[in-house]
Amino acid sequence: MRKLFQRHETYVLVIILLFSVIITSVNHNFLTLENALDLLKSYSFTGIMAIGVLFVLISGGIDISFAAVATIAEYVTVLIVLRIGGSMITAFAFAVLIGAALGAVNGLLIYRFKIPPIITTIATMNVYYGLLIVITRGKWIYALPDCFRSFAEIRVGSFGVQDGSAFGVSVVTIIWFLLLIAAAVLLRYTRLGRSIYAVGGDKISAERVGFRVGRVQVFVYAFMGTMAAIAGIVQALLVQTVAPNSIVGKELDVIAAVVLGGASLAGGVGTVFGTFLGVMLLAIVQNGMTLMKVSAVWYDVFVGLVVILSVGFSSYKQKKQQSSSKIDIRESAPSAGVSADTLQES
Amino acid sequence: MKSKRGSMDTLFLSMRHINKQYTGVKALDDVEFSIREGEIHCLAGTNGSGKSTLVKIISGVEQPEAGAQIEIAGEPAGQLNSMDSIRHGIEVIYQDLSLFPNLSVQENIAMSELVSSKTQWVSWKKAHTIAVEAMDKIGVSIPLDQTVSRLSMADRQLVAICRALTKDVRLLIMDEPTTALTKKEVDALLSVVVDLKKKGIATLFISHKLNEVMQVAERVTVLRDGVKIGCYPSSELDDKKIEYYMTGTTTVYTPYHVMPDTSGAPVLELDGLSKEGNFKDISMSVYPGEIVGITGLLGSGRTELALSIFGLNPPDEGTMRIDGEPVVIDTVKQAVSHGIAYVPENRLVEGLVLDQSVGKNVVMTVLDRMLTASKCIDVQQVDRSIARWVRELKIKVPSVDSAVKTLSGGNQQRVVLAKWIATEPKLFILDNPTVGIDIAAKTSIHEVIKHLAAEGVGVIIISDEIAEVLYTCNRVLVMNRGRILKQFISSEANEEEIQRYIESHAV
Amino acid sequence: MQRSMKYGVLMMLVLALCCTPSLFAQGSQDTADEYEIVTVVKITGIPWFNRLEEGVMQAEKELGINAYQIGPADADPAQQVKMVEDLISKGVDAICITPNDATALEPVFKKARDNGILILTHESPDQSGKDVDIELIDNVAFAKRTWDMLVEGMGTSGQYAVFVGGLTVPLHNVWVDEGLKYAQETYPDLDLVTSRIPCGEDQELSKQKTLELLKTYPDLKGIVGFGSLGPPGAAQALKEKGKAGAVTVVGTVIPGHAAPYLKDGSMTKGILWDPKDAGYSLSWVAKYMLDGGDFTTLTSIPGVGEVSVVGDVIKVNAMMDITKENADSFGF
Repeated sequence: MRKLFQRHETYVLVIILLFSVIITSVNHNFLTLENALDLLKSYSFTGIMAIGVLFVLISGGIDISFAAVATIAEYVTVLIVLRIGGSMITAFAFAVLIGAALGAVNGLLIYRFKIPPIITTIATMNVYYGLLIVITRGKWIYALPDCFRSFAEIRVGSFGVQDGSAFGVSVVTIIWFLLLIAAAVLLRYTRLGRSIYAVGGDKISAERVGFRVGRVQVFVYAFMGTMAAIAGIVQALLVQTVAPNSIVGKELDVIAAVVLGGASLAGGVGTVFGTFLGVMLLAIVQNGMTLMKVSAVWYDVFVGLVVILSVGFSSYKQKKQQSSSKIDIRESAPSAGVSADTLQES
Repeated sequence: MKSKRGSMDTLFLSMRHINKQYTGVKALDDVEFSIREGEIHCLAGTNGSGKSTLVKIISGVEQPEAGAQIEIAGEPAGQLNSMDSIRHGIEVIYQDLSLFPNLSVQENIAMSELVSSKTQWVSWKKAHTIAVEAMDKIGVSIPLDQTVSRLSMADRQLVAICRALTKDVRLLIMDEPTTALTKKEVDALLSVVVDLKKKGIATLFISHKLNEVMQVAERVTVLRDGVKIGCYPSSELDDKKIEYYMTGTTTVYTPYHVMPDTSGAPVLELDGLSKEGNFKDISMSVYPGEIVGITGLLGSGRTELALSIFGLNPPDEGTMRIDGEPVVIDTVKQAVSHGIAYVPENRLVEGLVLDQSVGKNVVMTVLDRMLTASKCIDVQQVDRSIARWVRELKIKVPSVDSAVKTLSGGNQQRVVLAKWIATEPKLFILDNPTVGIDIAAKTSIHEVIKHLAAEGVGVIIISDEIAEVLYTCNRVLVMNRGRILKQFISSEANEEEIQRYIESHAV
Repeated sequence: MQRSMKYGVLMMLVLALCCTPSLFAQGSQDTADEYEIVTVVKITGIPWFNRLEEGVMQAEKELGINAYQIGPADADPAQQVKMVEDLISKGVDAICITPNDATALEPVFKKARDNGILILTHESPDQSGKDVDIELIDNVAFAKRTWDMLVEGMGTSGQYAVFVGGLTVPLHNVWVDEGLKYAQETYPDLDLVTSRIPCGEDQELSKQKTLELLKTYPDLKGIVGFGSLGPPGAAQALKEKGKAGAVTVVGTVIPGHAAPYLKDGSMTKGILWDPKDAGYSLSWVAKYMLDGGDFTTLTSIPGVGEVSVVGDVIKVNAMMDITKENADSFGF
């Protein structure tokens, strides 16, 4: 029980529950299966990118270019599928290939030239996005391949009919959850996963123990690219339009969600479950605002406050724990008072 | 495996004609070095003597210049790289321990095994077994799921040793393992090393702290300025001799005897100061010109007491008087305004801004006193003040604009001192001021402290090292479990007696 | 030390590259006997201004002038200022501009006119420092028409919501202000459920907000969306919830984008003007004035239509409805 309260995830969960209660008390439509499934669908795009960001943050890096990578992967893949045809499987394959390659470029630059990741990825973001605009001239694609349309409508389960339309678990939600599980297993049960934590904890120690830090870094950024690419396709599935500028600008939202979920910008810390909760917290706050009939001018203020409150609360808690654990060591002399007394009296 | 290991007299590692040059500076000059199987060996030398370079060559991190001959277990080993060294069973525990602060004890211990295992999959059950086995080997028990960043330094050290032991280690190299440990913890560590010897594992200590190493080492190799001075059986060495070999001079501890002027009010007077869980009923006084030493085990409450005086750990009850006036100090700002200065133990993290220049660090605490009429910083006054303190404290720097992190440990500590002396304090509290720095630097820091006291400042030195407080202070207080157990006049005390009080009813 | 120096140099290089968009801007060769008329748009690489550029190109071909379009990669007033300064030193004949910030550009406009360069603005009627402004729509009429459209769909009473691209986008908010004023006078039974929601430039967000609105206000009967992605997002949400047609969706859209939603009935009607007309008109008026023509006596622009001149603003009424019948015929 005590251990549970040392975990960041617990606090995020508590905050989520708190918000849910408040929102539900204003609008009963919040706590419905339908709304939950709608949120899980809408935020699967953010959630998938968050998985990639989590990896990068754990490794002690940061990536700003992922939205640009997602856009390129989305755009180029749709172009390819439109031209040569193919199924969703080919679409995902192409996207992953493009995303991983662009991500790996980030990783290589960061590792080979030791440029700080934030500078590298800001630069590549400009290059990637700039090239896309140069090549496409900002043209939008309205007519997606047929497979995108039919695939997006797949859903599992049918939970009752409301206003004539059934709702279920959308295919994009399923993709997101599969990726969450895969990422959790990778982080927890593979050497590669643990090496990411090791590199994020102490790069020099990781090198001394025998991890190839360069490879880990390249992997992490390539993985980020892969997640961004999948998210890009999911975005195309969600809105059925591909615009070169529709994703760029969402980077900070995603990073904020991951940090909300307990990852540290200093590296070495973070879990997949926490990240999921972080995304959901953000989703619920943004969703709840309209449901609670809050005027739109207040949206940004509330989102900012929630980020500050939940991150601040958890790190304050941690700081307190750290200082109290210090005193634990000092107090480790059992029954300190008694024996000292006897000694003084003698 | 056992059969391959020879008797205790066969050499495990032998190195000859080791030369190494760094951009013009000769770090090692034709050094010869050997270590026997299962031997406990000590490599001694001051900072910059080349001992770290030699360790880097043994561990394969750096390669020696051409002409070097290295043999391991009787076979020529050629040039070693890090993987070769690890394959030969050489494990280094660096001073920073190379642990992962964000991971659990269990994972840290099992990390080497994880790296070299053939499968990509991590078995937490196996990791658990490995960690428990490694801890059993040296008879310690640390909670396996604890995060390393929450452990004490001593426990971290043990975790690092456990990790090294998860491999088929033949030679364990420990770089300055005892600096962050208390006497009791050092003893525990040394008994672990003796245990390892019985298992045929050789240990090489790198150290400049003499006593504890002498207890267990069989031979001591001394380096000075990149040259090997000699290799001596430890039975032939005493403190004075090894110090002479290391520095080329002998320091004479001149005990500090003053009869402080007790006619006026003491600078600091504590009466029945208590803090729940930290210390109880502390009464003591410090007169101008006095140096009062406080010693005791880690956890005896000495650091907590110092923090309380400095406003970082407000006490629950009792009174504090400065110059005879009762005061309440709840914040550092109040403490500073009452003329109290505090130099923390961990100088590297707490005392300095490592990336900033020496000059900026020195004037950091007094900038607000150096303003022109228009509230801008008076650059000329700042420069004068920096020059003065660098000169008075003999800080060796190429320029006052060099970053503090480029300085040696002793010079860094002197920068910390300068920073606080610049505030012209009435009471100066030093927590373990000479941890991790070599003899020469240590002596000169003690000189600075005595000089300061002679000018009428009251000084409190907190130290684990009995010799340090005994020879630098005129009074020594022993703390034990939050109480002041005994007070000594240092001219009438000896180390053994103080040690007895420190450890009496020790846990 | 050396290493960080190297990065320093690298960084400077990168910065230098970033700061010289004009290095890569495509410009045509300067031929002495042709007018050089440059159109500076708010932002490049979005369909709206791509369409505007088509008008500029058409003018170049038909009028025998050297006309081209440039613009910053994001809607940044400072970059527009820099571009205008570059054009002044280049010595062009006229600058047609869609300002990101009216006041930020005033000083360079003055400098340009001091150098004998004509300044024509678009979507900025109150701009000072210009020679003439061209407006394709009358904002008040545009807003009224939009609300009329809404009422055509949902009737004169009921709940509705409004999307804008952002709470600081001037044009969108002017339309909403005018629209609300008009609604109060003409359709007092319309009930705006919540203040304007800033999601109109993000289809996914518009969709999500529509879903939330449907849950919060089950009786919602209409949505007005400004920002070309608001109405499609709303239409998508309605389709998903099986409410296509039950809620009226009107607003500004790109015809090609809106076509499928208009056809399946999830979107009611769109309203817009053709940015191509704006691009053509700007270049045409610029040439007309360079040839010595007086804009105050202008009555029509060939190929665009009748104009009326009020002070230094030329108004063209180019507002048009986008319906399922005509959505495919615009070519953008």
